[in-house]
Amino acid sequence: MKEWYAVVLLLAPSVFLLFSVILFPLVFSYYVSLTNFPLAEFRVTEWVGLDNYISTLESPRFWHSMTFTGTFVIIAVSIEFFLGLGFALLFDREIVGGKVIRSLMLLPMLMSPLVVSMIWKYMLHVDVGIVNYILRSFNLPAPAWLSVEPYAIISVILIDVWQWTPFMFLVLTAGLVSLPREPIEAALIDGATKYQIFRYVTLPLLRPVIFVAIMLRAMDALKVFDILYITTRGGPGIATESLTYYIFNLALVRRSIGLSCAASIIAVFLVFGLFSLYLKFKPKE
Amino acid sequence: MNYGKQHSLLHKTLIILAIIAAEVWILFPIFWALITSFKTKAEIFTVTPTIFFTPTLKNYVELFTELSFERWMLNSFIVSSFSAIIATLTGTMGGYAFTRFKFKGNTSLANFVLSLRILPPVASAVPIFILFNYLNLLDTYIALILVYTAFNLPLAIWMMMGFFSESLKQLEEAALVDGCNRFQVFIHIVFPLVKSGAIATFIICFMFAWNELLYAVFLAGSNTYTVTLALTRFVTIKRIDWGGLMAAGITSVIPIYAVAFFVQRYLIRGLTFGAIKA
Repeated sequence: MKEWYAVVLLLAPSVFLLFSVILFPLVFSYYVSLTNFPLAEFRVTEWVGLDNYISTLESPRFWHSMTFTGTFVIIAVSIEFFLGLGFALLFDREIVGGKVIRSLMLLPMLMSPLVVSMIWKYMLHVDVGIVNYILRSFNLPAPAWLSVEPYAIISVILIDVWQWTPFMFLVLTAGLVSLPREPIEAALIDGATKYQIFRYVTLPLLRPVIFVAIMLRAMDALKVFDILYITTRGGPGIATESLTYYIFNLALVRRSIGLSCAASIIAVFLVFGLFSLYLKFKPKE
Repeated sequence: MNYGKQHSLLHKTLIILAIIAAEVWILFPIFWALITSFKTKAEIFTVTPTIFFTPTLKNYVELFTELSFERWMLNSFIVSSFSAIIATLTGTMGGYAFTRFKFKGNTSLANFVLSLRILPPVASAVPIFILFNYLNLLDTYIALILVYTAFNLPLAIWMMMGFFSESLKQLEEAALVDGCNRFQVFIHIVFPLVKSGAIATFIICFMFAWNELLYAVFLAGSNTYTVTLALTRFVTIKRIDWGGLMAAGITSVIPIYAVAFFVQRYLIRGLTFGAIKA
């Protein structure tokens, strides 16, 4: 049968779209990264070879953004995972109105990160924010959350945790529900304690789901942009400048398109690396 | 899971308190934004938050009288729905090809497609910005629709692959044996089976496009201001009008909450690219 004919026809629109809107621009970006591209003239003025990559790799600001992104991803995703697992276990029982209560827990992740950031920017406001009001009423220090160094980093992590813990909760709940009952019942009959069942039966069975949840969340957190754009603008100084924000800044604020393309290509390789790890270890169905 | 043993009253109380704490942690910010959106400026700019106040719709009314919020909502709606429709249609075709036909490099091509979704948008936003400027496409609906379609397409393909692999292959084979051609089979047998899946895919693509900000920052302009881009303009003003901002935020979220209600069952698939089915 001439099935290849159908395959080509069915895949053509997808391939065309993905090629023209994503792949071709990436190749073009690679080309621009080897050149000088002043925004004012809006064209390639000079071929610079690998200069943009060398200055990127030599730039302390680039490495700072890498460190911040790494810190952000590791801390935020860890908290989201443990909190999400805690919530999943907590809600994994018969509760009156359980369905509604569980759905309410998902509201944050459906909002755009932008709206989430706006709400938190208001709540964390130094003077009129509710967080500082509560802190002050307990006679605790009320810092300028978004503009002083350690607090700004804590704040953006907090915002990400608030928005995405529900994702972990949702995925891990689905995992818990789909677990086979037999091993747990067998362990119960053998007199295992609750903790033992969780540690030696539930957790190992849940491992594939945990892997998918953490990897997807980490790859997403790596791209953090909206929170920073709304709350700290990468500040104070460059304290909360992530890799994506660094690239954005290079392009639209510092107007060095060549450099920003070089940094983009580095970011693409990083994400592809992480993604191939994901594919390699992703549990087979 | 219920492990069967009877719990003490103390244990039960602690569980209930923990559940309440979790709900408060999640819901309080949304509640607080909602409350603020009904306050006047004077009630907002106080160091001690006002708890009791007469709610006013002023903030919401101003969105539509003093600003053109309905226009921005419309822009977002046009861009999101067109891109979601195209992504769902092409994704359905692509997903069908990947699940029903054996060809060389099938899996690796599907994985490669998925990897495009994981890419940081900022990496393609800069070159797209340059290329679309050459093509005079900046600040047009077409630009945003194209970009959101391509950005959602890997997700659509993978979601549809999940739905196709669950629908019965035997039905199609029977129809093929009975003399239908592939196209007839697709229209009469396959598509009806995955219709609800396609609707879920459409809605989830719509949500992602509606919530997107970064591409809009690069590609949209005064003619195509999306809701998200418009919201950023509120934030960058020196003295922020928190009431107006919260009203705008809430208004922008309403359509998403409305549609999300219908696709709750499919949210996990959408958010995990079909890796986890529930």
